[in-house]
Amino acid sequence: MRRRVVVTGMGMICPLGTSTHEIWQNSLAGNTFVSTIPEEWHHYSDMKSNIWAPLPEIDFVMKGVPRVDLLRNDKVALLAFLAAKEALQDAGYQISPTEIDKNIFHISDLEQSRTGIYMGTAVGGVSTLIHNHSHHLLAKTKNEIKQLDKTSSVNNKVMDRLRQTPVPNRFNPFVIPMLMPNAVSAYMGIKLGITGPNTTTALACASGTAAIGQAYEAVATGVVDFALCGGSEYLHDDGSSFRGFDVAGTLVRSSLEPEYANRPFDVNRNGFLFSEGGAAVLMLEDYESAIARKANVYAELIGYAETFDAHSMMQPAENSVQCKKMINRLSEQANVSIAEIDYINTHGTGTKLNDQVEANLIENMFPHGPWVTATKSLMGHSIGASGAIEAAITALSIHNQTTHTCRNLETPIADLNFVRKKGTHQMEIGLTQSFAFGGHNTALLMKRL
Amino acid sequence: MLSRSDIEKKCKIIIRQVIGNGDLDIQNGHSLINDLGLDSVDFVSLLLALEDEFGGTIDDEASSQIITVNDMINHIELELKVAEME
Repeated sequence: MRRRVVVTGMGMICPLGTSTHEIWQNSLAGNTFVSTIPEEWHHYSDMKSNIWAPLPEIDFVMKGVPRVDLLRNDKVALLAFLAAKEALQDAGYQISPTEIDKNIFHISDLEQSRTGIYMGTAVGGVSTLIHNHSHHLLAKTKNEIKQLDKTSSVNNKVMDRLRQTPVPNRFNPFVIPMLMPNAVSAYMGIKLGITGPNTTTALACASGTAAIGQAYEAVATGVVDFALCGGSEYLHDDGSSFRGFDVAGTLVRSSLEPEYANRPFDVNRNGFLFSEGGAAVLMLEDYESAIARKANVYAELIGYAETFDAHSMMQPAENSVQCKKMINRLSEQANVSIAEIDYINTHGTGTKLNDQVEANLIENMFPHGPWVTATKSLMGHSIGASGAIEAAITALSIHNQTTHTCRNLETPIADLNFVRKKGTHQMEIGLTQSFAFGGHNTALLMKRL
Repeated sequence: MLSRSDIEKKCKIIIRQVIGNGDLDIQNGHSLINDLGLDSVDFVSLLLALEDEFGGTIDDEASSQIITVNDMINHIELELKVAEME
């Protein structure tokens, strides 16, 4: 018999803030924090887009990351760990350093062997690899220039640029464990002493959603009693990942003030807002145990479904056959009619084709007019973390009976019930969906308790 | 330039951070591996942390000469002097 699964804690970091409370308040206020990309990136390439959503300053050590961990772990793992700590504390667990090793933490009253960690990331520690690759290619050359400069300095712009190119002092001996995607869940497990199933899923932009879906299944079927799940991404790699999306023509190009450029579902949208990264972690547990320990419950997770387009590596199938199948499966699994779904947190990237296909899908499948919003209109697209952030926003929305607006939506591309201003809304069942490069479609369904 | 005493204090803080024991009693004559219990991963982490704190790089040849806390302090002190002369 399947068990009921509830969300009892959450932790988040993204361009809107470094805690769930801060991010939720900024979301409700319709805030966005967009800036131009670092100046030096323009030296490397003529980018078509020049704006992004950077992360706030994060003092990792102050937030409990041992200093030495900053040197031997990619920030994709550190962000996930901080979000996990917040989720555990939010769920009512005390976290304290162990006596034997202050770099490792103990969680009071949590059975670590009955807890699983299910995380998603699109590219893991790619920024570490790229950073170290510059050392691999250039460190010897830069050293030779330094030696030459001692006798006869060659002065021209090209040489100056090479002198200024950031190259780390050493090729980090931890580069392999830093870059491997599974370091995201592994680091969390090591730091928190959690010994249940530990997996990292890579489904590009759907990674976080898929990871929560896997965790939901594991708790529902009794594989584990508790699960920390979500997604993490960190893409500050001297502009390489940004360039990858830029050269593919997927990023927002701004002729407006930066904060008005990103506009999912608007007729004048022209691409997605690249986010430096982020992480969101949800604490899932069996409903009975949550009630027994009087835990705060944000929402009940009542379904997860995924399908695959088998169509294109970069574009959604325009007929949405597989997306429709996914939503139907979700409805059947949760024993909820589609007409009962009254909130949809869209994938809503702001790219031309994706938004049009998604709007058509919603128009076709949800004629009853549920509330529709796009979290990426505020915080940009954090790739593998985005689905988890949007799942957290979905839980908060139905829990608080309010949600954020679709920022910058002036002329919608479809006649959907877009959230245009903050207010109290009746929302009992919420859907959050993510679509990914490769053709992966994923969705979660949540119910208000 | 940092005094030897300051280098010693910083080195000991870094060792404690790497091992995760803020109360560890560290003597200059202690062997990093035999007395303080650093394993190979800890030792590499220590080198990274020293480079992060004091700058420069500690190459394989130099690191193979670092056996005790005192060796470490001597190495850092020498490197800082060389860097200052450059």
